[in-house]
Amino acid sequence: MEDLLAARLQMALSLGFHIIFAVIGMAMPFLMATAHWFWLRTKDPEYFALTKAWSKGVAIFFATGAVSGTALSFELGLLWPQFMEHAGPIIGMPFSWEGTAFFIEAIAIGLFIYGWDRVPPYLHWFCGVVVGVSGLASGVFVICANAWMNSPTGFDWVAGQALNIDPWRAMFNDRFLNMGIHMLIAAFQATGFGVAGIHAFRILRGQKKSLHMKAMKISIVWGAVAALIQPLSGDILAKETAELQPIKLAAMEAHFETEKGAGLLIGGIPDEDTGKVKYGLKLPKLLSFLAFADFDAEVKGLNDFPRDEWPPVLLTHLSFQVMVGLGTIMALTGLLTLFMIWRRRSWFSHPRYLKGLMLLTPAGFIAVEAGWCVTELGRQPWIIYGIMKTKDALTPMPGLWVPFTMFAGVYLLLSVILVWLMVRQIRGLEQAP
Amino acid sequence: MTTDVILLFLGASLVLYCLFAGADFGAGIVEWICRRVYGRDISSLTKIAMGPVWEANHMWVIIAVVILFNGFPQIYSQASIYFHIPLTLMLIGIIFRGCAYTFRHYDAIKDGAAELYSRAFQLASILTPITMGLMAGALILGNFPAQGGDYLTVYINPWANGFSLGVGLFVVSLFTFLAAIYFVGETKDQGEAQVFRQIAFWANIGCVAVGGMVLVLGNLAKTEFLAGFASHPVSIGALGLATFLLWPLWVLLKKSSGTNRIRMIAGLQVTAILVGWFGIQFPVVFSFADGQEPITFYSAAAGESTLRYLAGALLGGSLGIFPCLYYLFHVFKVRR
Repeated sequence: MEDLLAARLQMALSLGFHIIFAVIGMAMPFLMATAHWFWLRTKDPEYFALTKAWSKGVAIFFATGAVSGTALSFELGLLWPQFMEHAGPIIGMPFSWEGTAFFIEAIAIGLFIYGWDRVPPYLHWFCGVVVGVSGLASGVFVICANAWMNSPTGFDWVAGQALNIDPWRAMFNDRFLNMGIHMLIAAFQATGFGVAGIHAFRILRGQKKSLHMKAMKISIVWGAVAALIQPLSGDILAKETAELQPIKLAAMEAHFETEKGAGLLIGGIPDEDTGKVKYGLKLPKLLSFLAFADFDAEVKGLNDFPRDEWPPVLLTHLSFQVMVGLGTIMALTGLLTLFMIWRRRSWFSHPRYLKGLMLLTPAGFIAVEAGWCVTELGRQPWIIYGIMKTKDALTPMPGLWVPFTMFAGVYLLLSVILVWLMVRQIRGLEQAP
Repeated sequence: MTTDVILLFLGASLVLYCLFAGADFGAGIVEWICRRVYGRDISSLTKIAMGPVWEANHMWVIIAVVILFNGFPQIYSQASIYFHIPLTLMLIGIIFRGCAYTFRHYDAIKDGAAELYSRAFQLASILTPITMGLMAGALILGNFPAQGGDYLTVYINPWANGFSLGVGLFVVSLFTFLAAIYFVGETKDQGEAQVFRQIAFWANIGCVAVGGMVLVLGNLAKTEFLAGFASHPVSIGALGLATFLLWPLWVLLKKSSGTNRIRMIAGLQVTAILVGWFGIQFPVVFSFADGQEPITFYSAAAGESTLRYLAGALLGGSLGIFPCLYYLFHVFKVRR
């Protein structure tokens, strides 16, 4: 296997593995704190059992996220030393803040999990919230760095060296805000739907219905609200991409020819060599509208860019379609859910609703993975957009298929164990008196 | 000036990592020794003693890594290249260890799975510190090829040698010692405390023996090694202190009281050993076999604006971290 490919696969795999835990680590504490709050206010023992069970989940996912995140902080250098050597001084600052946030999160989680009878009740509840808040902060800081890779600012690039570095300007670059918001909402959406789906499944199986119903309601409300805001955030982000990374937008949309009043492509299999799209549905003028809020705006096509600066069009386009498709389904489900709450309909225990939620269990996570594929593949061949190519950042170390295979084996094993552990967590919850 | 402030943070993070994560790695080793030598299962003690603080214990390495790639990017990138193999092994060890530990403690159903997690946790606890020692040994030897070379010369030889392995074993004994000392004060069972005192004593003897062997090997591999120690007042002072402290330590280990004093002495000893190493090493990080100018903290430091922001973030971060950390240890370790 070619070293560059192996390195990219290892990075994709490590990030793809870590992001699941990052997402759960950001949003799950808020679900837990909601259940905990109800327990403190109502003293209903089911809320207590739920808080405890969820807190174990948080602990397991946090620990896995922490170790895979630790690995990532080294892997960035192990695979892309040239990138880190140049980017470190520019974009290291958000990472140093992330270190602080992560540290506080680790402390708060220790206090929460082990502090039931040692920390005063409301302070204890607050520790749980701190876990979530510092998780969100960590997420934003990491996004700052990734946004900078897409929109590098805060330095002058002179003869292969970064001069006049301004870490503040680099951290608060043009893209961090909207990318950060999109990611945080995605975390609540994925976790909310994921958790709700699991509990819906247990209700369908007739296990501890009242407890699982409470759990499902808490999580689906978080998920539904997030799923409804997300399209708005996505729209803002797409407009920003159209302006700042037109080639990425062109790849997302498999848009080859520059045109005014460009159509929006739904589905379709693009062919990079011929510049044609097979199958797929084109909605006239809609791409121009979505990208620039003007039905007749000109949208740049891939053919306007040098061929060697194209991202992989097929994968970027398909990932984007998957993300938007799943996002739409979740938004509609969210709409239905909020309608049910608003009109006080008792459809929550309706088998069709439960089955729907069950099917949507992995939807948010798949959408998150797909979304990251869009942003990472869409930035290729650059590691720092317009400044440094991914291939020029690669380590000189040969034989990179070996570490790739090792990490792949480790993460596969861990995934299997984690699924098994979660099954046992649920069984433990249901077997408790 | 800014560089020195940051270096102070880096040094402190490394010392704190060795003390807290060291005791944590050591916990896995002590668990293994207890099972193999004494036929005792102390996993429930590991849970109580380490559970609330173990996440925080391991954060220090993140702080150190962040300081390196933000403030001293060349050191981070060179280490990533030369240490690709030991770093990868270390990461896999950290992943296995952290996951096995967490999975064991939060598994909702107690059955044979716990035994498998224990095995993985204990094995990873022994192997991971060795990889750390290999890298520390390589930095002390400083046989890096500046001009590159074949695979063995660049990626293997700097760390795969007797001296580095000796340092690896030294780190293992040191971490075992720290954990055993820590456990003495954590257990409520007098018999168990006695076992930990014994382990601490023998681990300490192991440190002295392996440490002596490392000094000899070091002098064989690099003739100016012992002379280097002797010529640095900080190093010789620190090593002198560590050696002198052996005496009160052994006395206290024989008695069955003075838990806090033993902890203080052990912490001081480990700190002294690290300071001794920093003394002979500083400010050089990578020295080269082929006579190239070494890479030092000062030659690798990032620009002033980066360093000022980093120093600000570290100072600000400390204001956030230390009060929380104090409260954590206060709740679980003091107020009992």
